[in-house]
Amino acid sequence: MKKLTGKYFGGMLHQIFQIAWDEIKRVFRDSGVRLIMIVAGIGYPLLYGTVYLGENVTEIPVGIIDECGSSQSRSYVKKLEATREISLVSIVNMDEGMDLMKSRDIHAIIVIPKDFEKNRYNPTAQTVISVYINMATMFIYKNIGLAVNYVMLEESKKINQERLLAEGATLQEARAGAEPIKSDMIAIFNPGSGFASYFVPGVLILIIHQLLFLGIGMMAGTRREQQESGKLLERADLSHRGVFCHVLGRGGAYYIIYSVISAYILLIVPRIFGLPHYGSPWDIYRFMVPFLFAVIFFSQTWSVFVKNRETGMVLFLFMSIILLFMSGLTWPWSNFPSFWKYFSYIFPATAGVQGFVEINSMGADIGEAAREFFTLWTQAIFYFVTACLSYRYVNR
Amino acid sequence: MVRKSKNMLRCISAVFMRELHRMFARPIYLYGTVFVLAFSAFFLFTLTHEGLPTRIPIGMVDSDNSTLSRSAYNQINAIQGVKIVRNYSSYTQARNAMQKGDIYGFIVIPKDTYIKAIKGEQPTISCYYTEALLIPGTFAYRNFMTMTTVLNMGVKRSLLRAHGISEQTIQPQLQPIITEIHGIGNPWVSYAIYLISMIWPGILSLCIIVMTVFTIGFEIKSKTAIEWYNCAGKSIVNALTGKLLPYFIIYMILGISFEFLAYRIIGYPLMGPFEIMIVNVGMLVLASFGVGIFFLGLFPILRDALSAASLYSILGISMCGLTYPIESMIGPMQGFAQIFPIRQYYLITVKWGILGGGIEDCWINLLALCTFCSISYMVLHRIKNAVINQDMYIEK
Repeated sequence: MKKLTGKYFGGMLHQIFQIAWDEIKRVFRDSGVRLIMIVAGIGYPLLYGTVYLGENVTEIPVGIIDECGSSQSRSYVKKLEATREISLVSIVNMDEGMDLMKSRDIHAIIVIPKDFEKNRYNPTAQTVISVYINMATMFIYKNIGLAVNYVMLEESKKINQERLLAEGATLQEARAGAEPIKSDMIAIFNPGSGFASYFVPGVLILIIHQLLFLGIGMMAGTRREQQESGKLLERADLSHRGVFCHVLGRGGAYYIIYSVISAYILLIVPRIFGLPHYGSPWDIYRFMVPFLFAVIFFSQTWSVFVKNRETGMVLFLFMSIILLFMSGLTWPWSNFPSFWKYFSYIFPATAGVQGFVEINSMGADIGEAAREFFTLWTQAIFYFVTACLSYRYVNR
Repeated sequence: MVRKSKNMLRCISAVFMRELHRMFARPIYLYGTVFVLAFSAFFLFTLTHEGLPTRIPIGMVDSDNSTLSRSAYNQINAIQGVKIVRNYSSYTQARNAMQKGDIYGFIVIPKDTYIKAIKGEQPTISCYYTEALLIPGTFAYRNFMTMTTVLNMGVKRSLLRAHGISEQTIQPQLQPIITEIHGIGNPWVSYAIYLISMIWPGILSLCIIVMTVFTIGFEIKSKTAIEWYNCAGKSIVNALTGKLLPYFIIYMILGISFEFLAYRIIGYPLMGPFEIMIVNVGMLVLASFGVGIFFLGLFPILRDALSAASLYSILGISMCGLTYPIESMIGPMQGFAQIFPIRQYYLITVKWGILGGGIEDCWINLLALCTFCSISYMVLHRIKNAVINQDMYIEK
């Protein structure tokens, strides 16, 4: 009896390896799939890395209208100029400023009012500095806001200190009076606030997700076009054992190919472009096991709906952008309406991006990313079952 | 002459009717046009309905446990942008929570902060925020800035009151300079406006390019191209016009509805005329058709054209300059960005629609969109060849 079971599973294992090996050969023989799964897998991460090579936005041109024109206002202008974020262009009035803004020569206008100097020596007055920012690019708005607020707070502190000194306070008292509690603002995990360091790691996961999805869809479409029955499996393979072996064998083939490609995308690409890579490679590898299986079985489940080799791309390309949102990269996941929160659990990309960002960019270990890790394992198992079911039933 | 144009009209309408039949015969056509775009609009509007993410989860490490730290707690929770979800006992614990993705920032109030503040020893509190997820991290940062200012004001106010200074004069005393930020084109500084006003047109352009490639390429692939060509009176221009006309109508209805919804009903602010947005979206639709035809002419085999068009069009979202400015990318990428219709649409929206510029600011972008339409003429003969010799374009 024992011998018989051993033989049964041995035969099954042999069959799975045979199917996997055939599938790997098919992937490399098919020029379309090769382009999507291999060539794009190697080239796309490099392209994205290059797009955001600038990393941060500095020296943004900003128009300045100094209505006061005093030595005090000039010194304030110098402080603005000294910030890393902005670089000033002197302009005469708002009309000129708006024209320059329309031609995109400047992105904001700062107006220092006439009474800037007078107010400085009047303890009951408050000066309002107006800043008009073109809101069209998020990163520009963020950085200009950062710079003007910083200079404003520093100057306020200084004025308060001067006023207290004038009232006869000691230097220590004046300092404490101007700012009773100091505060440190510390950005951890991406201290330079770089755009690439934030955006690209998440996008790398989305690239893997989408290329696998489209590639597997294309394989299925091709198979259905080539087979006379238009089915993913031959009639002879529709037994429980046949379905099981085919889903696992084909999935295993994609896994083998993509464990190599993912290693390149997630371990080498961040190092090429100097992106954060705080996580240990071993943790990233362990995390990728359920991620890749979840994506593969998820794609296999859906692939039964792909009739022709091209339809997958027409149907699901736009999902790449939806997934970018689902993963919480552009809109904080904590602020999703609950419907979309649950909806986002359908896609392995959500937990994949979040977990990878935690491990890679914030140095978490697999224990700290446990929530995402287990979500992915659950998805992998769930989609394995659905893949078997859809191979067996939807495809009849 | 009259007879010729009458004949042309008859041919176009014959192809138009033929296309309508095809569209309803297989779900992919209506799915790829109406469903994808309607779903995307629904998704984007409902996901970001808050406008600005509110109540971002943050943490607190309160080692002081004084009236001051308790008032800090209340003040933070009074700010709409953030919410303290938990008190952590130590820095390490809070940092771990951040790595797990539970919170996006935390504030550490060390022991004896209150006593030191009263004594005038200027204690320091520390605010940590993660820039690994830039958006929530930045919101946390901005709210920390507000919080520390408010906290300092509270201490100062009680100090000033003790000195017998009247309430009226206290306000400017606390902050001699303030900055008022006016967001042009987005007065509420709504993050949703940023995203939706560009992402949806981005998806529109992507769908058009991919669908144009698919609908023409599929005729060649399924060997119905000759029939289509004959139906159009053996004129490739008539054939393409009649074929794409139903899609043009659908995309225009969707595009105009979107612009109307965004700028008229929801009321995203426009300084320029609303009509320009209609022209803009119309030009975007035509330009995307042009690009789609161009891809198919370049690679008359459906699968190659579709792979290339997909890889290209998905990049458009990154290259339109919405989140990260094109001006800060490396030189070659700045040139590369210009070859995406959505980039031109973005520039026209910003310069003419939002900032109220005119033709003198935008003519070059309008010209670029016209160029995208007209490049399709360059490949017409290639498509014609492919159609006539449809049997030779066999996929391997």
